[in-house]
Amino acid sequence: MVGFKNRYMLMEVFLDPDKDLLGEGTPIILTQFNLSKAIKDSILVNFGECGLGSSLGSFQVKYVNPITKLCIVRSSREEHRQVWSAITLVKSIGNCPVILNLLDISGCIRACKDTALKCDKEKFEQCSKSLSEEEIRQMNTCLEKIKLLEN
Amino acid sequence: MGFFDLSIPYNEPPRSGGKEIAGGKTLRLKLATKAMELGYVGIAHNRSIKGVMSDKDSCTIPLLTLGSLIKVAPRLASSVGFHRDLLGVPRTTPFRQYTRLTVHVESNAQCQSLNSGNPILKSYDIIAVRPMNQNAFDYACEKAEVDLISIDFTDKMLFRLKHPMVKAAIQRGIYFEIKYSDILMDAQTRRQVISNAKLLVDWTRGKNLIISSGAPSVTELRGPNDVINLMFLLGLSAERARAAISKNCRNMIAKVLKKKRFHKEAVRVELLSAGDTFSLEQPLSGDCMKWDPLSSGEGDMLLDDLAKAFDATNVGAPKSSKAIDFTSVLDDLPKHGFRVKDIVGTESVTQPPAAKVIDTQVHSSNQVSELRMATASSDDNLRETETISQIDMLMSEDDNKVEPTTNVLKEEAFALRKCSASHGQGILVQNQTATSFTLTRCTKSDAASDVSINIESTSEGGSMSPSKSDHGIPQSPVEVINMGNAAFDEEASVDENSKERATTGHASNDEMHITESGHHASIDDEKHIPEPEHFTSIADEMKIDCSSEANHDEYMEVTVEDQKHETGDSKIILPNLSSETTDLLSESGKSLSPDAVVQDHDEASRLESNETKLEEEASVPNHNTFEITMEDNKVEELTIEDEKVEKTETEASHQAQVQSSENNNDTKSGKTQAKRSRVRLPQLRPFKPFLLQSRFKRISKKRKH
Repeated sequence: MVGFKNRYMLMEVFLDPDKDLLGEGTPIILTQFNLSKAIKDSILVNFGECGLGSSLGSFQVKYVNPITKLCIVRSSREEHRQVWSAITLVKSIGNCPVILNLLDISGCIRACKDTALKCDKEKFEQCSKSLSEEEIRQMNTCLEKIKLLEN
Repeated sequence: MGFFDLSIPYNEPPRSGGKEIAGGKTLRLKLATKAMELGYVGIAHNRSIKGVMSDKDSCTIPLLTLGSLIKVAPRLASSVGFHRDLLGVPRTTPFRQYTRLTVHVESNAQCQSLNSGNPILKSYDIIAVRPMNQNAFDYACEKAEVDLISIDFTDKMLFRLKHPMVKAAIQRGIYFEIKYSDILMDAQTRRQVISNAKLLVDWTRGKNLIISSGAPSVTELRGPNDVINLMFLLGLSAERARAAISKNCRNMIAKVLKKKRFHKEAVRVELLSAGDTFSLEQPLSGDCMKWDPLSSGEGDMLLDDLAKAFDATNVGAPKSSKAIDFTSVLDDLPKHGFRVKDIVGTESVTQPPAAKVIDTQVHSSNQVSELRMATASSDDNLRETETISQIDMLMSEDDNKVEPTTNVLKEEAFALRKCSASHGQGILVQNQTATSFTLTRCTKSDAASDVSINIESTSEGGSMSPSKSDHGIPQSPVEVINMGNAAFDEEASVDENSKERATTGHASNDEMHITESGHHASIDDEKHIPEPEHFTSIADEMKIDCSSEANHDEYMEVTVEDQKHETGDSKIILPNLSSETTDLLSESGKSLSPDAVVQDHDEASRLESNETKLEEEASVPNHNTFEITMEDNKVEELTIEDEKVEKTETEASHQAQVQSSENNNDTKSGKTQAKRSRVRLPQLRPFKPFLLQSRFKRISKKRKH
């Protein structure tokens, strides 16, 4: 029996929403690192040291797609609400104001993977017109990464 | 269930400055675009006023147009669709805009201005009050006529929230508002908001609580799910928070718009273009059921329009539906009402497929007046007896609700045999856009009177009354079955039918309305005009009934109450009704019941009217035998009737009524001639053939009206 339960949150990031909403020319590049840092900072400010400590155990940013701005964050089931609130309260990543919008939350990585694939493809459709070759390749590698996501 | 964000700040540009408008407008645009993209289905532009209001403060908020949104975010449509799918919101939900005013109230004098007579307040959709001190808060909770109390939690509270005040406000139907953007601001503000608002949350327990953004910039917007989770920090459970951001908003908006658009319980009438053709095969177009309880008239945007606009680089105009001045519609209708033969031609449907709801098409040779039918009402009819108060409910019913109802109705096809013209029957058939009805023939010999069936798809009571009044059937109370289902043989029934129609046609709510609105009374009064000019949504109801009865094999013949004072029992005798008619009857009966009730509301007893209506209705389906009793099992009992009557009557009672009404018809015939006969729509419910004379008599005696 699996004693340890997780929650996988699929989110999208709106970078610099005040500016051009088309999303052309992203001010910063989304990476696992800077996103994770932003969320941890938020947990620290809002829930304190203890909050950060208890959620840090299972907290991980599993997947980030810099082109479609999709990410998967994992957290433990007990703390997932707090982590989710902290994610909502994130106002900026680095210098760039952001809006983090949760799309889906699921209990297993598989379900999250499926949704992520679907959402990724859709978002790709939406912005595929303005992507360069390089980015398309990058996109594909990211899709591959999703498929390799297993806990 | 859509999510609303009811506080997008709007800054009134100073009278002189034009620059400010540009900046402000872009901000609003961006906010609206972002909100729409995040999955919200409605926003409200919020304007703040401090101090004394003047005429210049009337609403001048320009609603955003599709074109402007597209300019900001060209690929909005796909993104919006994507998010809506994830949230479970149907893609076709229109994006609505409302206008809102927040009045900062400090002194008693300012409080006094917050009443319903204030014309400035009336120009906005939603009125919110922000009390600045204890007195203002107390006044706002207890006496002020506002929709929303918005408290600023960000700083030290200027007054205390008292539990009895909060309770009083909730009882009055006032909502409290919490802005979540305050939580996002900075640490200090966050602290204050959480500690202050927690008290409110605890006391209201989520009831009458609304969450909105109040976001000063786009960065402070959050998606609906995120907001629901944020409320967890305030102590609000997930489902309550979800309700606070969707259901409560919806209810408040519906209430607000209802107050704004209609007076008390009036219903809205819309004119259908005469060019529409109906056919049984086509389902009712959604256009017929344009009732939109959440629409503020303009400013609604559809996703399809967005997509089209983007593709075609054309701006799609937001939909707006205009209500039609009912009186003018009425005046236009022909005097004699609409005859079946005019409308139906030689069509005859032998098999009544599921009764179709005649939405609101009144066919006349020249004009078609469309009465909106609250489809929901028909649903209601089917479901439960509804009282007139339900009309309000109906009003506020969701579009979605309306839609399904319509579908249900559509599925049920009316098959009305055409009334033989030879009998000189005038049958009013209201054709829906989708369906054509042929009135079933009244074979009953005594059914000499013409039955005018007024089918009014719309529940507008107004339509009903005129038609009713137009009915000048000199005969005894013949219930006019407005519903297309039944073919009415008798003229007399027309009068009553008109009444009934009103009642039956409309889904319970509608009819209730109609009756309530007193239009029915007019119908009764004027039985002279053979054909009611107005079609009530009785048809709808009838349809409902019919549909339910579709499976009945019995052929129900509704014989119009004899106007000739023949013994009641004989009249109501239900000849073998074809299954179709049975179905129709059942449907109409259901719908009729409320109609019937409605019509008679001014009469001494609704029951009587119901009964007569039942009788009428029975005759209306123009079958010789009205087997009311037969089909009742399957058909929901005269829900309509009940609804109309405002009493919930059980089937048995209906039946009894029918019986008694039958008896009454006989007795009343004389009376009716003397005075305006009530148009009673007989319950088209199949009744078991125990409507024997003796029973009738017994029952009628028992009945005291």
